[in-house]
Amino acid sequence: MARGLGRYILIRALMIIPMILILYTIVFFFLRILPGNPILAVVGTKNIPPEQLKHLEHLAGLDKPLYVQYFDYLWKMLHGDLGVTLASPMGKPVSSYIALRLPATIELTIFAFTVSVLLGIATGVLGAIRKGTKTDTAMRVYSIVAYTLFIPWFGMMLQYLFGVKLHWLPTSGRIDPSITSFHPITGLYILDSIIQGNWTALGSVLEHLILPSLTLGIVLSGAYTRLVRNNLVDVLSQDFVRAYKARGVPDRKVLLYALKNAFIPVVTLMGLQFAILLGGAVLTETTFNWPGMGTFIMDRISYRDYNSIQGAVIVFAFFVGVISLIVDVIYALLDPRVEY
Amino acid sequence: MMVIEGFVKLLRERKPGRGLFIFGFSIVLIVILMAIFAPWIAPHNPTEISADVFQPPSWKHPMGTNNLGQDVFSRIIWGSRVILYVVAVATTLSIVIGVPLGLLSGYRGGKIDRVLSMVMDSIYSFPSLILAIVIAVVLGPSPINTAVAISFVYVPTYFRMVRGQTLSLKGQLFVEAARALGVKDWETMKKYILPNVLPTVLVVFTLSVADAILTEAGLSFLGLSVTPPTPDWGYDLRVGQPFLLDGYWWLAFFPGVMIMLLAMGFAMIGEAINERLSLGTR
Amino acid sequence: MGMLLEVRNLSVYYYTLSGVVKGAEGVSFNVEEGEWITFVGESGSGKSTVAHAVMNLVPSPGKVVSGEVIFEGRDILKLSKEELRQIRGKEMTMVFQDPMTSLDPLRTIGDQMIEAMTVHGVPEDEARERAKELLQRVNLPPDRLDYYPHQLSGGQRQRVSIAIAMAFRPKLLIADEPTTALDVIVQDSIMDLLDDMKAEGTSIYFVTHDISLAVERSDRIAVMYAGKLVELGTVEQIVENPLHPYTKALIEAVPDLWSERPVKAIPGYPPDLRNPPKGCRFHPRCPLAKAGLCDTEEPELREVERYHLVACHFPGGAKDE
Repeated sequence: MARGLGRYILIRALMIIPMILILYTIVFFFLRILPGNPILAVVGTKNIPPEQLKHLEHLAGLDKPLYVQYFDYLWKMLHGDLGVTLASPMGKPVSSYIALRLPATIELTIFAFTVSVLLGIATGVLGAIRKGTKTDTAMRVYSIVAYTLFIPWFGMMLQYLFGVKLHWLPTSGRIDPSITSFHPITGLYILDSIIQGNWTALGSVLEHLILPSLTLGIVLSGAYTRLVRNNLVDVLSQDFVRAYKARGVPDRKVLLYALKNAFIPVVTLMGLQFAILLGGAVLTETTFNWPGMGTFIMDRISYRDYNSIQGAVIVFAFFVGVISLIVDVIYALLDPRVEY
Repeated sequence: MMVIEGFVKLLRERKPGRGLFIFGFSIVLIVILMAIFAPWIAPHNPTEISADVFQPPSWKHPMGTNNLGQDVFSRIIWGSRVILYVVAVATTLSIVIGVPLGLLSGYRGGKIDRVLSMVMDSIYSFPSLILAIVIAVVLGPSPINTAVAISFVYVPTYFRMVRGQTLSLKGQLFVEAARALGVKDWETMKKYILPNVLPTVLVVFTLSVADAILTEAGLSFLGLSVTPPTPDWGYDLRVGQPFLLDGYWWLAFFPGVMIMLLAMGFAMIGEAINERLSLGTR
Repeated sequence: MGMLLEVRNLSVYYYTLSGVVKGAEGVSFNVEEGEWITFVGESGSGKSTVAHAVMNLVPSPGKVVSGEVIFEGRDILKLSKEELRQIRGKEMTMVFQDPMTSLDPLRTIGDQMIEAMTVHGVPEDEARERAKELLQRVNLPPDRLDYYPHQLSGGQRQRVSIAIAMAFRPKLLIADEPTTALDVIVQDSIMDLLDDMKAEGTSIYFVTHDISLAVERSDRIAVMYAGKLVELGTVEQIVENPLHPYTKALIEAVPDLWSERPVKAIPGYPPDLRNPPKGCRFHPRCPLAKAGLCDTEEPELREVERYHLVACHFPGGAKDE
């Protein structure tokens, strides 16, 4: 069985590669093919001596023909080199910036994901077991409202309520800047503060995580509500649920078994939702001044630093691929009907 | 025709979807009317700067004024044009590109199908907002460019649905019969498969319009859609954010609420139609 | 032979979005110890509904609106959740129609079988041993304990369900169309298993739409139409002297392999139970229906000969040959 699983994972892993390639190609096409000299776009209309311009272009690798640039970058990518920044500052390796920003996004994403799944399951189960009642309708309304909330607006409203009016929670950043005793190690501040035993820092980090995670998490939970509710209703009407009851299995256990059955398609949804999660993270980070990949991309846009943007996109593509692989494997492990 | 009949039936029956549909439809209708009649119903010039900055909502300015003294209410009314325009163009483009490609891919199969599917799946599984951001940045800020960026991201959605439907229809007898009679491929796709695929397209449309609205709002919030002083909900929301923390809530509140209401309106319509269609098959 | 189950005036309604469906109305009957009784009827006749109601397992949106189900002196419908839970699976068990969906697909056969016993206090190792024995009794190798439902065929799955039902030698086994989804040869082996259980003292409450199947092994037959019990009698009585026109039509509708007699279908369609016909529910399709009587007055279930009850204004058919 284990050998089959290994092969299953390998095949799925191989499928990620074409996906990353395709996305890289698309982004490369858009960023490079379009007219305009990126260096000039950054430096502006300032009169710049041609030798310096040539030098900068060479640094950025822009003096080579396009197809060479394409494969060059690809080759470097495989070695973890995502090129260098094109502007402000110039020439720094993109990967070093990403290493700084990525953990912030990961932390936010994990928390938001947890919130969305827990909320989604809770509301979905509630709607299913009270099927047809006002509670059920309320859950349906919840799911539509949550799903269509505009993240920045929702985040702002939460900021206003909890930050401005009630003064309960902070509204931006990852940690109270006055805590100078904190030093990031991995970039995952929660982990870092625990490792250092810095409890004040931990408290501040958690505080700062609440509003952004809630914002993103609530909005994403809407999709889960619907799926969980509909699946659970379907499963509850299936024969084996009645068969369990007919055998004298207690109701609580029956509900649990039904949930396990209903949960499996939800796992697949989690994989799809991840992409939405990342997109939502960009908006959340911008709203809460969260120093993650989202704000990184937006920053780099204003500097026309296309290299950085390209690198960030590739990192995103990689993560999306990896997550969908993990989801596939979890699904195969949960459902005995899947063969591997 | 069947679609219109369906709508009328929906309104008549006392099914649970009815409330949703009416509510959603009303919102959307109001916004559309707002957009059409903007020049007549907006009380002030939305781009006119004045000294009356940060006025809270009042009779003269029902939604207050912003940091430039512009009337928020008028900006809301005029802002509806941008968002509806962009989403309409984007959706049309997505359908015009995605549906024929889906038909082709599903019907012909083979290499074309494999390549197209792989490309479409890659785009589909990638965060749509991020991809749209990249495209929008490159093309430059203008409503039509935003529309193109958004349409790119939704092509795979239509492609996949249509391809799936085409695949299942392909195996049905009436298609085989047409082929046996010697009907050319293109004819078959147009006459036999397309009409059966359209209901699916409608469903996908209703489900993705709400999404497209939020994507457009996202792009304009990030400053990638229109240039000032064009009134735009997303952009105004962004401008209003810093002032929110100072207590001037109406700059950000109203644009944001409108975005949400419009998306919600479409989502409710989509829900109701979806329910109707699936109840019909049960 | 004592009385095991007494059902009095049972009515079950389904509260659906399109109206209230009167699935079963005023049904009364008894089941004796050690007997095999079969409920026959078309789809929608209420036979499944009544069977489910006996265990208080009517699926939503159905609800028992009136009646009593007296099992061993206690009204099932009034028991607490825990009391009910203790009876189910032990004194009274049920086998369902679709073997594809009546076992949890995520758990092994063994887990489900063993659990069916441990919830009634049997220690796990003892339960495991008994599970193996039960599998052998239904002609399945004991290694199937580690199999998942999707790895077995429909017939095998149904046998597992019966094995589970056999675990405590119940007083009553309700089998809701257990063979409908299976082919004829497998069908026979399932019926044999039920016969074995009957030989050991279990009463079999069988539900089917196939009257020839009913005649095969039953002691008594109950005929249901449009939610009402229209005839009840021993097998001989029903076959040789069907009193209700519907029963007669059912028997005559069975195709005869050896004769050249054309198949006689029953004209018309079963009624919409949201709005059942006034008077006798069968009157729109009945050749004996008399205007003024059959369309206004509902016939009561009356004993016409010993053990033979029928609900008809013209039992035995006054007009027909």
